[in-house]
Amino acid sequence: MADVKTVFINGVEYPFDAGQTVIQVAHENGLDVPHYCYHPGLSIAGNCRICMVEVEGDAKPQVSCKLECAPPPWVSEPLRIQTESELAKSARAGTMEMLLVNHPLDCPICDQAGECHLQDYSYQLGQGQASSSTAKTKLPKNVAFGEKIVYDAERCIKCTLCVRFCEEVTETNELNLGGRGDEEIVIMSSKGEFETDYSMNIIDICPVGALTSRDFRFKSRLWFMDFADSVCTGCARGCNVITGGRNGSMMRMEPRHNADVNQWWMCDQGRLDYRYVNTPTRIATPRIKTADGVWAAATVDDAILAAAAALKAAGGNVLVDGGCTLEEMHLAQQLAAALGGKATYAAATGEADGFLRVAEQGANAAGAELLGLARATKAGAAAVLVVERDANVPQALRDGADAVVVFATDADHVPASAQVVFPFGSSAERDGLFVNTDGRVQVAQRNPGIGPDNLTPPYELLEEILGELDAGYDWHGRDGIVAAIQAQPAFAKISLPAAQATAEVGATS
Amino acid sequence: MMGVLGTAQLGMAPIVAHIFSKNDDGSASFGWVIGRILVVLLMVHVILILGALMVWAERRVSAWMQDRIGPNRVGPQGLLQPLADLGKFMFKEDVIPGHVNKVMYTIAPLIATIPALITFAVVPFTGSYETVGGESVAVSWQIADLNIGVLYILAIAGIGVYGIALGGWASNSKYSLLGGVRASAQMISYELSLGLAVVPVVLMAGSLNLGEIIAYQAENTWLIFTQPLAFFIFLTASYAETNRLPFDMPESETELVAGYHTEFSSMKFALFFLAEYANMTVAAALVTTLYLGGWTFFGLETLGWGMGVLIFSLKVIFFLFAFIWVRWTIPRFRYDQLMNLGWVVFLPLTLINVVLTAGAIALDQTWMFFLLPVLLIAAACVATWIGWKRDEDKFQPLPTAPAAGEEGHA
Amino acid sequence: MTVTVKPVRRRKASFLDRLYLPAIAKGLSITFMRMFKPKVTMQFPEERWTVRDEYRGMPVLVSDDEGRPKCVACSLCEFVCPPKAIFIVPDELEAGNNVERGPAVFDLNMLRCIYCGLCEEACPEEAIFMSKNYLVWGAEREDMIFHKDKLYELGGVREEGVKKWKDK
Repeated sequence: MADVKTVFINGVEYPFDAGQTVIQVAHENGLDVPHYCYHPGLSIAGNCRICMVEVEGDAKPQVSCKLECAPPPWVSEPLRIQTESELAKSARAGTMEMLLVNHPLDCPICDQAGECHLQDYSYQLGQGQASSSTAKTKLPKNVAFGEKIVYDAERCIKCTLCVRFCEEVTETNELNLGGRGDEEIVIMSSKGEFETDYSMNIIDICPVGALTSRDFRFKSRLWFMDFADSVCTGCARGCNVITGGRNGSMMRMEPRHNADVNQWWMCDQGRLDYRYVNTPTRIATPRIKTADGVWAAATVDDAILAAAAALKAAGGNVLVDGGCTLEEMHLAQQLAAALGGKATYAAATGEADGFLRVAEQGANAAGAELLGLARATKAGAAAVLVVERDANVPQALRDGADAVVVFATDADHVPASAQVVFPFGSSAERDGLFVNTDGRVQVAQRNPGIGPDNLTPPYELLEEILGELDAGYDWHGRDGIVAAIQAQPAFAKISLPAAQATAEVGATS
Repeated sequence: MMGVLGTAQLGMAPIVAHIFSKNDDGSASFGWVIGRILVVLLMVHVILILGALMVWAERRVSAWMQDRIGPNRVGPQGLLQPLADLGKFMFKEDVIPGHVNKVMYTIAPLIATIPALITFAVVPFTGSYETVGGESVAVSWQIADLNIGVLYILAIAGIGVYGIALGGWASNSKYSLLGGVRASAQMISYELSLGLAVVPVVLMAGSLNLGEIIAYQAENTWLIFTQPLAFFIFLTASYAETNRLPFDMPESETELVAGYHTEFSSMKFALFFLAEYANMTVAAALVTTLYLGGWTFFGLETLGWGMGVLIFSLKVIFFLFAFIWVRWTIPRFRYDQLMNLGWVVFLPLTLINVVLTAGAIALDQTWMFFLLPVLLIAAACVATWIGWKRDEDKFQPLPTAPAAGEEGHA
Repeated sequence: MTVTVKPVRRRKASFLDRLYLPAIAKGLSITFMRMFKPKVTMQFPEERWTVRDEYRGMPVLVSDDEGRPKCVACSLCEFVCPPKAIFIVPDELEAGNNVERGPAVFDLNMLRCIYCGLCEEACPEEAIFMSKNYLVWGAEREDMIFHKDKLYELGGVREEGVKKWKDK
């Protein structure tokens, strides 16, 4: 048996690891092989037949997801694969033809339109509909899979990705296939509810619009939305996500692949956690408390002057939300030093679920510890209060702080003692660095489609206030702040990404 | 002898006649004064309403000539359109720009309008035949029976241009000033020809009194037949005097942005507008009186004074129509052409006409009156021909004109 | 810069031309005769011109032959609209409708519309059409923003075209 270590795809020789299939090697090397039922995180089923490729020398095409790169023992030459040959293309076109026989082609009302593999491949193969003229099968639509998921059997192509996810990832086995022939549909276990808190991942992996989110249903077309790579701040795991928003509202959050943190998944709790961003009581402009006790809208400049004046009079500690970025925490420390107090952070503690979710709820609690911030466990005086989430900084802490300058997302979270209030963007609206529970530094990016217009980044506001308090303050800018953090001994072994770095380059400690 | 508009002649009841008649000794009684004021008010309103109707007529006729319909929505056939326009003018903001001379700016529209209204005082609008010394004489009725009626009209009409010139100057704007200056230059140029065109009429009628000029025409023949050149020049000059196309240089929208009244708005603008149309009415009435026998029409006027009014009105309306007609036919002259026509063509022609007419009267050769038109038209043709010969080579084809399609580079 | 000169051959003016009067008389006769020619003016509110098939008037929404609104709020017209005159909020329709999705809000801002017809071309459901309505007016800005109900009322029923949801 010859020891073959390479495979030729479209005439180019690529190395492969033992057990790898053709589609994996192709995807690793940037080649686009169509696929529905293949998912790198799940077992290989090979039932959709869209990834057909031509193997030179074979009369029939083969599914590339199941075709191992290693040739059969009796062959000593590497396999020669053609992904774009006439045979491969006609095999795929035939598969599309079969899929479109019963697909309703209701893209105008389908939430998947725009990120649908069936749509993409139809477009690529130039086939808009099946040539069959028989009536399409009528199957159940708008079936509830639990409270969060809507199933449309007509759109389903029976790739079984969702079934395999429940079997292999969550191991809860809620889904299965029922019926046969063109009436085969995905059915749920008799309980009708998902046991797992990871059920919404099947919406992401569904290649068509058969599984859609009840929460996102008909909210917006994808092409109107702005997307940004960010980090989930629901717990200290820091799952990598993509935020989607439009016209100031956050629409949804989807997991982003990161093999070291969350792989392809995220929990439903974190996914639906974004709703606090869209609260009707969002603070959009700075406010200053007037003589008659009303918080009146003010310009940023006026608010900074008022905040500096109020802090000079008050002095004291700084209490920040555990979901603040490293930059914000660092500046909070500086501010506390300038006021003659010290900075603390507050974060909630939840329950770990054994998979992704961890008990620590402060998304940047690890970062705070690295910077040397103490954890506030009970109410204590603080002149400056930064609160993004109610859970992290509960009412008792907020009221007990007796803060004069408050950075808050929701107007309802502003304690009565506040003299100056600054709008504080949600995690989807702020650039910054987070250190997750494993000590991994990750980058969150601002999504321009979310939140009030023209929000001044908190690190700029904090620097301005510091400048007002101390005439000799040395301005840093975000790069400078990151450099200052990097210079601290605690971060000696950690390499912080530059401010402009994209989220993909999340550095490991 | 000269009939003024007396109440007795209108055939009113004797008691009314008594109230509005003079005292027995011929001095003005209170009733007589009231009667005169009423008549004056009546005539002023006739002119104002005619002016307003002219605006409507101008728009309708111009529309017809351009295959359009024109204003036809306000009232029957759009006749109430002038009222609507008036309402608009009244309610528009009366803007007085900051850079104007306020006193002059305010009185300029009045100066333009009032002369146009008061010239009509001496124009006879009907009359009757009375036996004087055994002869039947046509006696005209007018508001004021002036024996220097022609001079009065020329003098008063000359004042009107002050309104325009002042309006242009007081506006303190380049366009307006140019319009005002043009108006005065044009007025001086054409007042000469206008006056000289009237001289043969005065010579032949032997009087400056408009009523007597009509009486002369009723007795002999209309002066348009014996003085066609004078008629033509008078008509043309009156177009220039009233600033109508093709001589509307003072306004000329395309170059001067409405000229002297660029800066005027609301009722001040409306007054300028009214003055133009009132002037047209006066000019039409004058042409009718001087050359077309006024209220007479080959004996038809003997039917009564009402018929005289009708005949006079129809003649005036025809000339008013001609004003509009010409406006929408002949484009505006260039300014040098305008001056050229006034000084080089009309002035010599009228002078020759005056000399010839005077000669014919001095020699008492009345038959020559019928020869005069022929002679003068021939003279006009000869003069034009001489001018043509002189300018002939101006219109030669270009000596080095290349064949069509070729391009020369300069 | 090169100036291109094209000499024009002028007709020599004849004696009659120089006399002007015949030309004036001719001009006067032309304008006078013109007064009695048929008029081209259309008495607008009473008389209307015939709108041609290719005319693009105000966009409207239509219902199918069963009187059901055709729009499914796919937002393609909103996306394609160059001046962003269309604003749609999609919503889930109650069971029993022909589709599960429809517009909760469909606002057409006729102050913005440029009558390009791209919405009609983009519509996969043939629900929006360029009508022949060229009389779009409003006394206030709000009047020029046409809402869903008004658009369906203006559009009426259109029987031909796709009926994708016919038996659903």
